[in-house]
Amino acid sequence: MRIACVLLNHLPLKLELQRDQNLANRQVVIFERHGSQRTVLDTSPVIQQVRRGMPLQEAQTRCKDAALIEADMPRYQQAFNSVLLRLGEWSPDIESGELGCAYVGLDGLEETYGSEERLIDALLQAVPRYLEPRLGISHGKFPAYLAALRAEPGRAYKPPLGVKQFMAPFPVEVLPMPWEVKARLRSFGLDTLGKITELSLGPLQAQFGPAGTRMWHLAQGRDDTPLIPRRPEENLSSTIAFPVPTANIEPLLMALDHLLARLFSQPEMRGRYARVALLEGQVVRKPAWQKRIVFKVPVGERNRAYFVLKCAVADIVLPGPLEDIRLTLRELTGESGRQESLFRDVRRRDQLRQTVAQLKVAQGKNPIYQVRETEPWSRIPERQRVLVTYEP
Amino acid sequence: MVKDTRTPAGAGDIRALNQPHPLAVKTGDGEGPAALRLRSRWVTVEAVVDRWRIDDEWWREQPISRMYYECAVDQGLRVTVFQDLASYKWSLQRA
Repeated sequence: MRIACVLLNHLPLKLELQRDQNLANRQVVIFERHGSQRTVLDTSPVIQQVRRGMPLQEAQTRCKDAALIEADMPRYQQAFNSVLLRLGEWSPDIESGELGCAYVGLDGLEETYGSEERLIDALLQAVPRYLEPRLGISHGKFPAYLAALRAEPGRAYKPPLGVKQFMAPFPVEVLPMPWEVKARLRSFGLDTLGKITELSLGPLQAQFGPAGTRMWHLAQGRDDTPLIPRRPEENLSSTIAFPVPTANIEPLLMALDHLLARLFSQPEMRGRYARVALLEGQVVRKPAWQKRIVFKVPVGERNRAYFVLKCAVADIVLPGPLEDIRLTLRELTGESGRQESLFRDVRRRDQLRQTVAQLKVAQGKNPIYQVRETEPWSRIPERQRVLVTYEP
Repeated sequence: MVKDTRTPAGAGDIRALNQPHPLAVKTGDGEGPAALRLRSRWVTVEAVVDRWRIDDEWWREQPISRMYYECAVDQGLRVTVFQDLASYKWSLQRA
């Protein structure tokens, strides 16, 4: 499949520069928190010795004078989502990679747009100019990504026919692997993709396991991972700005009540239910605050939603004064009411189905399993039964 | 050719059940275990209530060959353990 990789290099940095132009003359390191750990998310281009994923402590020893900024992930994600929406106007096959990287399926679109060049121009025009998009075109996601790295800002690049030779000079830092794996590769003297291809598969597998297999195939220019189009999500959101930034819960609850009234009165919400509510707020001089609330039962009316949100935020401690609050209702269902069955066992199955659906939304996967017999005749106990995810 | 469902590959939907767990065991003069290390303490085996052997999957590189013991430990609790006859390692498992 021919794939175009749309790359927005240093997206977090560009968004921070948009917020504070004084940062343009300084070296900047943007970090994000994972529990108690802090790792580098992005840096100014002039900082060569610090890489994404590096522990912040190590980055600070290599770049002592850099300004440290905590990542505002909701803002970066929102900007990236709006770019994905615009790309989606040109192709139905859009996959979101990591932040700032999107893959677009090109197959079958030449006839619609006249030529591939026209489509590529349209994709470049779809991205705001200040983000300086780069486009790479190849067969497979990883080669397309490397082609995008080679492209000039605002331009597209197609590698020549010998993809393996094109990829050989790239450093191992381009591999989609954890930072620790790349550091180990360097310690073995494997600092380019070309050096990886000089080895056979066996030694890499022995040293790195499944990651070794994957990096060997990628270095050869073979990436068979399919393009998984993102599912368009229907959300409804509304924002209200506080006249004075506040860290108290009472104004927040009043704002939520007002936002719920606004959202549930919209025609798109008529007769529908929401499973998830997302609260986002800009905090004074700090990264944005975010809270995700999953409704135990999908809610279709304002008072019930307010009750659940009130319970969820009653005991929270805000990280600072909020300038505004944005409420988004997500995972909207198409139900127009709760029609229950006359038969008890059918009702029970429907209830179970709803509960499993809610758990999937809350936890990301189905946590309910049931025991199934596989080889009950086997004398080996662990062969007799397995746990299978429960689908009512 | 099977159509690609685009679902990420993984064994997450099926989990093994009743897997054996390595166990520290003291043996005595007789056959079978004399003491088992359960929940970070040593528990004396009062009696070996039953024993049996399984030999299976002979066609594999590592065939299954185990000697099982159903042991009565303190206050009548029954615990099933086995010794792998190839590696001589002990494991805890419900039979």
